Amino acid sequence: MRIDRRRFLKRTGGVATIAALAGCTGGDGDGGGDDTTTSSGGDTTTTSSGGGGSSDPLKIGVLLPFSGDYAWVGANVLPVVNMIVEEINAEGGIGGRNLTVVQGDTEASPDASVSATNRLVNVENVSGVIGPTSITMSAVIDTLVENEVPVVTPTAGTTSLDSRGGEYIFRTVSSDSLGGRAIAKAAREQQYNSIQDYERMALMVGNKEVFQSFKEPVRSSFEEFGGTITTAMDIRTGKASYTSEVQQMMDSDPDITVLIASVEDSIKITEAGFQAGYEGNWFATQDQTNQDFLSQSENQVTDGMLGLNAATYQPAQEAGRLESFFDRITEYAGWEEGGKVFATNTYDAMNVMGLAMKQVAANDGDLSGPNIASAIPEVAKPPEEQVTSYTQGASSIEGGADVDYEGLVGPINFDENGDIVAPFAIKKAQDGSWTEAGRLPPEAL
Amino acid sequence: MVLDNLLQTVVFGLIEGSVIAVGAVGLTLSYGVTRFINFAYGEFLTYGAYLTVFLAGGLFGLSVPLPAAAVLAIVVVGLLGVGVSRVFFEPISNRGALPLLITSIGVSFVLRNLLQGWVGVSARQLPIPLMRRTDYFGLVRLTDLELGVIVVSVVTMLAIHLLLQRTMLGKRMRATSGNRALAEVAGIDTTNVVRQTWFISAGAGAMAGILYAVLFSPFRPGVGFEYLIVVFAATLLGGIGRPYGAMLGAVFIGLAMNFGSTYLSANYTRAYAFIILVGVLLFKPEGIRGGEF
Repeated sequence: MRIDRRRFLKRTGGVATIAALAGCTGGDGDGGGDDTTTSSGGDTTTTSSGGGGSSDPLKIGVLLPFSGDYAWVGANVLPVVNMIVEEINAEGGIGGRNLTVVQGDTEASPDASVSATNRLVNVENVSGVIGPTSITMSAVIDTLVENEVPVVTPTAGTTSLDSRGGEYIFRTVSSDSLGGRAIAKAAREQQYNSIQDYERMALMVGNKEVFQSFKEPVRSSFEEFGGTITTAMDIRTGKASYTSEVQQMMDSDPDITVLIASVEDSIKITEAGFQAGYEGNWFATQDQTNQDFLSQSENQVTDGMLGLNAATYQPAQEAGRLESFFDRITEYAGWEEGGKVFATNTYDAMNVMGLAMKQVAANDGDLSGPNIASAIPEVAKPPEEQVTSYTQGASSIEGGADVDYEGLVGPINFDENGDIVAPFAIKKAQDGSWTEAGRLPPEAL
Repeated sequence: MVLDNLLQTVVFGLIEGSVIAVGAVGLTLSYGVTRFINFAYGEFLTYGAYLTVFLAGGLFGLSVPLPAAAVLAIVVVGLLGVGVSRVFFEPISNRGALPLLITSIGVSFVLRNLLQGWVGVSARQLPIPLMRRTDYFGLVRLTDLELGVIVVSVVTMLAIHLLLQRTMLGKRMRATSGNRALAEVAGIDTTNVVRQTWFISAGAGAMAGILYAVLFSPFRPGVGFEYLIVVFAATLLGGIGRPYGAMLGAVFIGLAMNFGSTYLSANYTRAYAFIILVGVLLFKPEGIRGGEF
């Protein structure tokens, strides 16, 4: 017993030292997550072949960050997925099989996302994936496509998906190229921002893919709309101070600066601008146009600042569907508000996924990746019968109708690249909260 | 315009140099008497900043005014430093520098994760007002807080100078640092001196953390460990174990980081500190300021 204890101490001591040394070389994050199975060997094509008897549950993978700085994304998405999955199971499941949800934590890091994806695809044999985010999309897209896994992501706006997808990859969130164009348009024309026609724009863009994705669309669109780009700076994310960067931005004399960075960096940058006496305005992306950003900043810094947001889809609001979704999710998940970022996108993503599976089962088809994936655009495409929820759509499918899913964020009609269009809202910060300054329908872009 | 920019960069360099100086002096003092590099030192910065946030924010039931919260935090972290040294370092103090160094890395992990487990990873800020910079002589621009940071740092440097030169403790510290065995033979209770030095060192670390938090918020629990690298650069640049060298090194590093950011590229701020450091280690390994202390 004594020896055991001594050995134990020795071992744990060793581990601690190694951990300490590993951390010492640090800097590039805790490359953790590798401990999850990386069993990439062998037959990767057995995905969802449904060989194990029809009573086996179908698995839906939720491939998102559940830990780290972006854990809020997973936290906003997962309850919505669970809620719809319960609804599907209450309706008798898919062809008699229940759905279950499997989480894959990407930690918002490409390394971790690869091993999480391998686990979902090769070990869990998921039939469909909800996620990932822009941060990890390029790291995992090939694995997902090669293994014929249908993906509907409510979270990846990255422009790298503009010319990909449509076969296995779909999204229920607007592309950043559309978002970037919306920022340029809204800055250029007073009717959308309620302040002025901005002429000279500076860009400060974080040096990560998720931010860089916005840069080109904003720059080229703003010039196309007749504005001048005074400078387009790449800034390093996570720095202690951005005094020099802000000085450089101010030297180019813009009257509005588009800030494409994390909430934390944005706080530092806007405060540095305030300290240095910057008199122009700021324009933020969806990442900062939330209460989190305003509550950590001082009103004197943010007053008048513009932000981009997904607008409420008018038909969904007028029909009361938005309100009833908010009521339902706040009760289901115990949230204080239903309008969390990506919640409505997830509702649409999971409904489309569920209806596609239902369609395949109704056609007596094999619930394989290719079959489900090809049903995804079908159930969302007009004309025929418009449906707005899984339950409604499932009974229509059973009745033999060709359904057209109409979502909360937009009509959800996938184009050939699996993208959708949705309206944008331009927000203005005033006394610590965002108010709507204007609205940009997709036609205006 | 060119002159303006140059002067302003010098001022930014001096501001950051002030923070680094307080941290570097604390680190170098403890090295002077213990002869090992304390990797847990970064956590003293972190604890200083977080304790101040909590004390001033009323987390412990009563809301203390910010300056008092800062002083209280410095004392508490000073005591923490003494405690850490008694629990982790004193028992193995005669095993040489390497075990101590490795232990200090472990201690830093323990401290950081304790804090993280307690307060979480979300970013914090000191409850200080945001100010616009005011013009001084039409040449340089500073906020009152930035000016305050410089003043506090200079006063601290003076206090440490007086401590080392004019007090009995300072003399004992210098004696212990110079030759511990000889100091002991001369009747100095070196164990006690070491403990007092730990208190001063950890307290200086906490103060550096608070000054950092005043300038660069919001911050997270990893802040001290990350900034430690910069503090190291200043310490080694000045010649480790030499307080005056550390002060000089800190100003150098602060200027290098800000000049590099302004005139080369703002993306490599901390890399400039290292370029200088590597240069010094290659050509003048004893530090820019040779000789004793």
